[in-house]
Parts: sequence; C-alpha cells; structure tokens
Amino acid sequence: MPSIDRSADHSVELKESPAILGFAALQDLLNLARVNSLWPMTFGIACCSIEMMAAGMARFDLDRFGIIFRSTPRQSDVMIVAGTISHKFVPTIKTLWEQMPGPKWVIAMGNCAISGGPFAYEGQYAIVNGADKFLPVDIYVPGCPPRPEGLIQGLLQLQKKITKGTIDANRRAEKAARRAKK
Amino acid sequence: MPTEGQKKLLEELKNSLTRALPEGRITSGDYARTGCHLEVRLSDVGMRRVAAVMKDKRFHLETITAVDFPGSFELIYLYSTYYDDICRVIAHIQILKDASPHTVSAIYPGAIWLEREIYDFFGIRFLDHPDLRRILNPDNADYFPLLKTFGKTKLTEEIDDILC
Amino acid sequence: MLNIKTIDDASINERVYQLNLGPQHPSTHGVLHLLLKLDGEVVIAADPIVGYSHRGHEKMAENRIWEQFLPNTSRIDYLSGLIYNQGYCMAVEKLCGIEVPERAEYIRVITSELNRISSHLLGIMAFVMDIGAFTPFLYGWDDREHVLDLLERVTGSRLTYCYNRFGGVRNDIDQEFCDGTRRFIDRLRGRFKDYHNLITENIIFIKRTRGVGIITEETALEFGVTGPSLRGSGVNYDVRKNEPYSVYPEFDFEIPVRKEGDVMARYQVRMAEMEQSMNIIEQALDNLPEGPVRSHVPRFIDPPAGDIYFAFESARGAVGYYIVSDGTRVPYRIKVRTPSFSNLFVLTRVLPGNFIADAIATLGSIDVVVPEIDR
Repeated sequence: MPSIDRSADHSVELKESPAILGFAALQDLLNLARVNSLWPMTFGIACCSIEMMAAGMARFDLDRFGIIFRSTPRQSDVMIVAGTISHKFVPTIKTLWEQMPGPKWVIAMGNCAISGGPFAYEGQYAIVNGADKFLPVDIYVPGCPPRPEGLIQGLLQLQKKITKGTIDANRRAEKAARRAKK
Repeated sequence: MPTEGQKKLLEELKNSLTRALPEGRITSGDYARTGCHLEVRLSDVGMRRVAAVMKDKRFHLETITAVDFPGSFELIYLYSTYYDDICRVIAHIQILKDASPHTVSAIYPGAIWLEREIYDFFGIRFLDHPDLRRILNPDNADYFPLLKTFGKTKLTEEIDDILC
Repeated sequence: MLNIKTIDDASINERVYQLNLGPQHPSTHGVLHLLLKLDGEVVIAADPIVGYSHRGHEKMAENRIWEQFLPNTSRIDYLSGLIYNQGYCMAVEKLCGIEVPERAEYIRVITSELNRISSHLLGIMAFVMDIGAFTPFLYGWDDREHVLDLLERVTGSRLTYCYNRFGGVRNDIDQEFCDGTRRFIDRLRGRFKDYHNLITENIIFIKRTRGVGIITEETALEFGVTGPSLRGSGVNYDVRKNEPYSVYPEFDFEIPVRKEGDVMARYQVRMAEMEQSMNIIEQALDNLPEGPVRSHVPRFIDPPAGDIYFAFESARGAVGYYIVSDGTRVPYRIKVRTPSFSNLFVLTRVLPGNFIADAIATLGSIDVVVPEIDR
C-alpha cells in the first residue's frame, strides 16, 4: 500500500521567508544534507517495531539511504511512531518529542499509529486513536504491520517532502520559464 | 488416560484439600473437557489454605483471574505442576461484589502482580497485599475496565444484525 | 559481585539514586520501564513498570464474536503469532468438540515450529546485541527473513498471522513450501556453525554471561516461571511433553535442559530448542498425511456454556487461555495467561546485588515481549 503524503493538501512553506540576503540556496543545500542522513530514534512500541527493525537489517538495509537509528532523542531527526499508543504512554512520547532538537519530523507507521488500527472500537478505553491526535505527523505509512518496503517508501516520501518546497519547486520554476521562452 | 503417578497424586491432593477445607467442595474434573484434573469450589475464604496445600506439594501458581458474574465475582486460581505428569487444580472462589479477599502473596510471591492486575481490572482490593496499585492502566485512571458495567460489553443486538 | 550487606545502611540511603531504564531504551524488548535503585553500579532494587502497551485484548474479547478474536491472538505476542493463533483455535475446538483433520494438525505443527525458530532467532540475537555483539544480529535476522518468506507464501503475512481457523487452517500448503522448508533447514544447520563461532565460543560473551542472573528452581516455582528461563534452571517442563496437545506425541524430540540457571544456560537452551524444532519439522514433512485441511464448521460457531483452560508452549513459555462461555456467540471472559508476565516479575528477585550491566544481560536473556505482559 502506498504511503500518503497529507501535506499535499495544504501549502506548507518550506522555504525560509525570502530575505534581503539570498539564503535560499543555503536552505536547499541544508535540506539536501538533512534528507540524505535522516536519523530516526529507536523507538518501537509494538508489532510494527519488528518490521521497522527488519527494514534496518541486511535484506532491506536502510543504511544505504543514510538512515542510522540513534538511541537518544537528542541526536535524532525523525520519530517513527511504530505501534499502538496507550493513554499511559502519551506523556512519555510528548517528552521524547520535546527532547528532539529541530528540525524534526514524525512518521506514523502502521494502522495503530494512524487511527488506532485493529484496536479501535466503540468502547475502547486504553488507546489513543492515532498519533496525529497530539503530534504533527508528516507521513502516514499504512499496514498492519506495513512491509519494510512500505516503511522505506514512507521515508523516501519524507525526503521528498523535506526538499519539495525548495529544490523541486526551483527546478519546476526553471523548466516553466524555459518552456515560456520557447 | 491418567497414569498411576497421576492417580496417586490426585488422591493425595484430594485428601489434603478435603482436610484443609471442610467447607469446600472438591471434585474430580473432566480433563478432556475443561483442562483441569481437580476442581475446588469455595465461597469467600480459603484461598490461603488452598495455596498452602499446593505449595507444600510443589505446585506452581499458573494464574489468578476473576470473572464478573451478576451478583458476585468468581476468583479463579489455577495451580499446576512442573514435575512428572501434568496435574492441574482449579479453585473457584465466589466472593461478594464489595468483599476484600485475602492475598496469597505470602505463599506465592508471584501472586503480587496477578492480584494487582485483578485490582486494576475489577477493583477487587486484596487484604494485606504488600503493593496494591494499578499495573496496566494509568495510575490516575478512575475506571475498572473489565467490569460488565463498564463501557459497551455485549453487542449482541448489533452483532445479530450483522450476522442475519 | 559486591556484598551489599557489609555496606553501612545509612550510607546506602545517602548514595542510592533512582535510574529509569526505559521506557525508551535500545535494550528493552518493547516498551519496558524498569525503575532501578542503584548504589554506584550495584542494583539495590528493581521495579518493572508495565502497561505502556495495554490495548485491552481481554475487554475486546467480550465485544467480539468468537471468530473476530482471531486477529487479536497473534498481536498479543507478535513473535509467536502463529502459536497463539493455534492455541486459541485449539481451546475453542476443545470447548465445542470440533474434530480437526490430521493434515491440518501437521500443518499447524510445521508452521508453529517455524514460528518458534523465527522467534528464537530474534530473541537470541536481540539479547546478544544488548550485550554488544551487533554482527550476529544481522546474521540472525537474515535467517529470519527466509522463514518469513516461507510463511508468507502460505499464510499471507510476515508477522501478525491469522492462518488458523476453527477446524483447521485456512488453506493448504504446496510442494514448493515443503521443498523450501527443507532447504531452509539445511541452510540453518550450516549457519549454526557460524553462530557458535561468533557467539558461543566468544570469550567476551562467556565472561558476560557465565554466573550472571541466576534463577534458582525455588524462585522459579514461587513466581511461576516457564519456558527456556525455567529449563535453564534445571526443571524439565515443556507443555509439548508434559501436557501434549495436537500431534506432538507422534514426534521424537528432546527437551533441552541446563542446570546452571544463568544467562548462558538460557541462551544454550534456546539454541538447542531451535535444533529440536528443526527435527520436528523434518519429521512432520516426512510423514505429512493427505486429506482436507479444514473440517466443516459452521460460519459462526455456537459453543456450549462452560469454562476451559487450555495450555500450550510458545517461544517464551507456557501460555494458557482460560475461556468462559455462556452459550452465546460472544465470549463471556477470555483470560490469557502469558509467560512473560511471570518471567519479568522474577527480576525483582534476581537483579538486586548485580551490576547494572548484568541487569541488561539478564533482562535480555529472559526474552520478554512487553505487549504480552500488557495485553
């Protein structure tokens, strides 16, 4: 199942506001660097964490994308919420999120982190129906659990999202300008 | 088919339990149907005496659980043995809704967590428990989820709609 | 190991500090929070805090019909999903008196033993990584991927299976699955040589695991420990032999037992269990009978009223389903007795007096899966 990039719905300005001094190229370079070394936090909650670990292992190998799992939130860029979020666990996740230095992103992996998954039913008392109830989720990777390839696609989609407003938009603008000239 | 060793052990157990619990009902269970060789039925007290007998015979406490029936709770204690042929003893102990049963954690320390879970799910407070607090739900939760009066329990009408 | 009794009590109180091991920590197997009270590097007290993965399985069981609880079963312990699946189906079949065709029983055993191998591979390698060896982790996961390929061909899932149904299994296995399984077993037997070279004969591993985290038989009895943690302490108890179910009596296999009770003993028990599982699978493949794979069972079953306790052996220990039925299509109560619940609690007795590094090794060797504790 493809991952959904909800950011297409609202216009997010990823460029810094254009200033008198042109830092846009620097931002593009920084985004390119960020995208090629996204470091997630080892933070698996339940079943999806096994597929997240499998994605990091020899067959699917996230290391070739520059993705290394860091144990501490102080050194990570991405929080992959993999598993069902219980009410007891929400303060911990919020603390970990606040401990991560910016810029930081969230991937909601698995149906439980998207909307409660197979555990959401009327009368459920124990879980929160989705990570986006209290975290600004960037990418949703559906599945129960999603295949490691699905997580990889989610991470690649996140890479596109991080650089979208800058590099791609510039290229598109240049292409449009060239076509207009012809 | 019960072996000689099993039959002997069950006889001994039945005798010891009958001696320790004159007020209880001890019957042989149908292992093929219920998975238990011996069934003990008591009301209200006696769980510590059962535990003492089982510990003496080197049984381990597999689990403790509770079932919410209308009008009473039923505490279920399951004992089983590691050694030789399997022998499982189940004790059904009926208690009233607001009763405080005794803890068996002095005899089986493993019961500390099992009784905490029952308190967490049903609100049953155990007397003399060394550490009675919630275990699985958040500490500030104000509900006991496995009570039949909590939330939606039987969706029989809706389920019948789906099934018909 | 320090003898903390010789240290003055008052001076301990000034020096004791509390360390949170978890709930986010690379060495925990799930969301486990261990509150440690330390005096320097020596653990004085350990208090596991669980409940961060509580999803309400038992309450969900009272809100679903019998068939709808099947997907829940493999998510209780996601590493032995097929085994839990099989256990639930067998418990309900026993309650209703449903007969299962022999071919289905053999297929259940083959898939469950493959699941056991994949769970042990993950458990052992994660524990070894906690101690610091990263290379075997990669090797073990690679072997695990082969098992998952085989199981995915037949069941459709890699991790959370729902392959067993009341009365049998969902679909038949084919010749390619059988050939692939035999090839995998030959391959894994060859890989064991690598594992023994990398891990078992490694002097650092030996020094970190010999004599560490000893669980005595008396402690195990008081806490209800089961599984490899118990068999590493000298007790020969395995539900597949002591209380046989399915077609296990027809296979010739041993139960590995070690007497020392330390971390190394539990590791050796798990490695030997994988070899025994391979024996069982080969025997099952050799004697696989023909026939249907599912008996005719109504679409929605109506069990009689009554209660049943059914025990079986997962990769972590003895699991039990205590099911109370009131004769309707919805269960009245399902209680899942999970081995990790009792196995983890033993740490409050075993960890004090050890160094904190030994605490990590002991925690890894118990091989807990926290959603199994929390349900």
